[in-house]
Amino acid sequence: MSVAQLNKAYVAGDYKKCYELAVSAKLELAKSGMLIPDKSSKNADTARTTLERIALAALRMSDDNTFARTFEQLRVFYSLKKSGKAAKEYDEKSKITGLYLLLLLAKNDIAGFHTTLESLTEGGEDMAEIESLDPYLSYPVKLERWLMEGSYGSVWKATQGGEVPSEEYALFSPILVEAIRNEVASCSERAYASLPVASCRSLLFLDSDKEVADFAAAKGWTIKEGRVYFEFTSTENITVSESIIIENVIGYARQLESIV
Amino acid sequence: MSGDKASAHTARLSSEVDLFMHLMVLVYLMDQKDYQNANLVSEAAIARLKQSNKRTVDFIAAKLWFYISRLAELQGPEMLPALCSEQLTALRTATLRHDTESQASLITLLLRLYLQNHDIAMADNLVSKTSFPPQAGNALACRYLYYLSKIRAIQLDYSSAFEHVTGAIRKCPQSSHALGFLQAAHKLSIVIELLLGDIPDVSVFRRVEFERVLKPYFEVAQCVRVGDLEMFSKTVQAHKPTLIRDGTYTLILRLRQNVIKTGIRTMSLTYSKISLRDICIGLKLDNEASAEYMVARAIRDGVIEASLNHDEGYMQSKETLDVYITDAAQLAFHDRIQFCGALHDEYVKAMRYPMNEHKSELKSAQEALERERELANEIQDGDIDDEDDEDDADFDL
Repeated sequence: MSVAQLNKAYVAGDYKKCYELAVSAKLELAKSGMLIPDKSSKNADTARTTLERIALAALRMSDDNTFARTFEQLRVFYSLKKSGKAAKEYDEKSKITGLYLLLLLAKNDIAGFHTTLESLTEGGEDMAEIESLDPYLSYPVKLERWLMEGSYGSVWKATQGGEVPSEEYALFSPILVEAIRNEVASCSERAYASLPVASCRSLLFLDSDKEVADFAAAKGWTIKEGRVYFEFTSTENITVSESIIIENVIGYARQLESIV
Repeated sequence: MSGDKASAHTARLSSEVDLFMHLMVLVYLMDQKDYQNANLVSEAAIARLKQSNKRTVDFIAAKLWFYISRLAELQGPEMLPALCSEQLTALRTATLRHDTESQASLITLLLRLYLQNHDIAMADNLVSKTSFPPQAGNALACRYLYYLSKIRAIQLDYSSAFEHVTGAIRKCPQSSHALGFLQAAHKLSIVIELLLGDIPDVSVFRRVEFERVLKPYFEVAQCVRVGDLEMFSKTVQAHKPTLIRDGTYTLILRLRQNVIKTGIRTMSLTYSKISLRDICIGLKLDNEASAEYMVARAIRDGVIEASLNHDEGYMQSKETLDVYITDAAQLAFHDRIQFCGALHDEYVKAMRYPMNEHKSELKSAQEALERERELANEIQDGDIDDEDDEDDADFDL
């Protein structure tokens, strides 16, 4: 019952209702044994579509946990099809997988990102294919590379411009921009002594000088005569801290004792 | 029907001989590439393995599992899911029976299976849920460490990945029999070392038996050392099929950022002051803005000692600090000591003692004790005769 209702709500674009129905729909699927895919593709298709819709609805309601959990359930369906003969690609598969990758990226779970990516690319064979053909998957892959390199400008451009593959992907843009802004801020603190407010604004991807002032206040920077002065935090402690030396030497002594 | 016949045979055969024959036939059929019959034997062997519960067949069972798994692997991915569940059941049984040899063998086989399906999450779960038996044979321990290193590398935990792969290389017999494994392990170790930001020792590439297979890796390492982004992309592209076959391609792609870092570092060391535009040209980047971000990031990560001037668009290197007044020397020293300590511990652990050897020692010790007691008695008896030395004898006792 609720499965049908859920699908109806999704088609009508009522994501809130869809999200509310998710739990009972999953329960219904589980009761009829459809959560575990079998060979009869008819049932599996229904279950898969429903799960996909639940995942997307959860994402729109910004419930990351439900999305991640539903993706884990979907993964079984996807991997089954891959090994089977009828390897018909699903329209939603790469979209949802891409969204999951983006979620991991937004959470800064790079290890999880690479683990998932590895299972997708079969150890790199399809990497080139993904990069050139699949817009859904290439987007998070590109973002990750830029983030790791430090090309924050490219990340910002990608999240703002028309490169975002679908509206669900745009949901992550604010999180990602926030993340790179903090990265840039921590880099700038170390790299510059001071910056003009205008340059600071463009570096941090902020819209107005007012926002720069707010951001600077949050970070503890001072603004004087149109320049931002970074709190000079010289963490360069040249003297070796005693406690570490003591700890190490006691460690060596203990090791020596156990050897001799 | 054939089952009846088979069980009639088992009644007469001891299970060691029975399983050993299965093993021999299986190896023979695989050698002849007669997979159809080999499958039959493998099925029969699995059934037989489930029934047997004798500690004397453990070693044969471990070997059998290896060949059963290899047989399935040779025939393509369709066979693997079914085998996987069989192996998991067998692993549980082996663990309960303290059958360490089968246990170790099955863990490595399962890891291999998961890694081949690129199912890293599953492999990681298996590692965290099982404990590899420390008594297991060296060959199995090597394999386990190698797979573990691979998992950790994919999860970006490079330092422990490097530790594991070094362990695998050290434990591995350095003879020509294990050449394939050594080559694979060295490939992995080179990539991980590069990812850690170090450059592998040239002597590794020079060894006669490695020179040819490690050539692509040598070229990649050189690109990373020089910091030439363009050359790096070209080299990776040129060796792509080889790298994919080795399963290191995705890891090597991650090296891009290291190449950039080295490039920036070289520039900062060469010039005391350089414009961002020149950095951009030198690294062949698309725009100045990203060059600025990259340099800023390198400064924050401590790759270079420099500062940026945004107004005039240049990077100014700081005077190089004398490393001996920082704690860098101390840290390097600490690292080496720790390494030596770990090495010593490993050697102690790797020493093997034959089982029950200490019992015979105990026996001889007991005999010695008895002899001593007899001796003491004799002395005491002697003392009664010789009264002059009574005090001394008491003292001796």
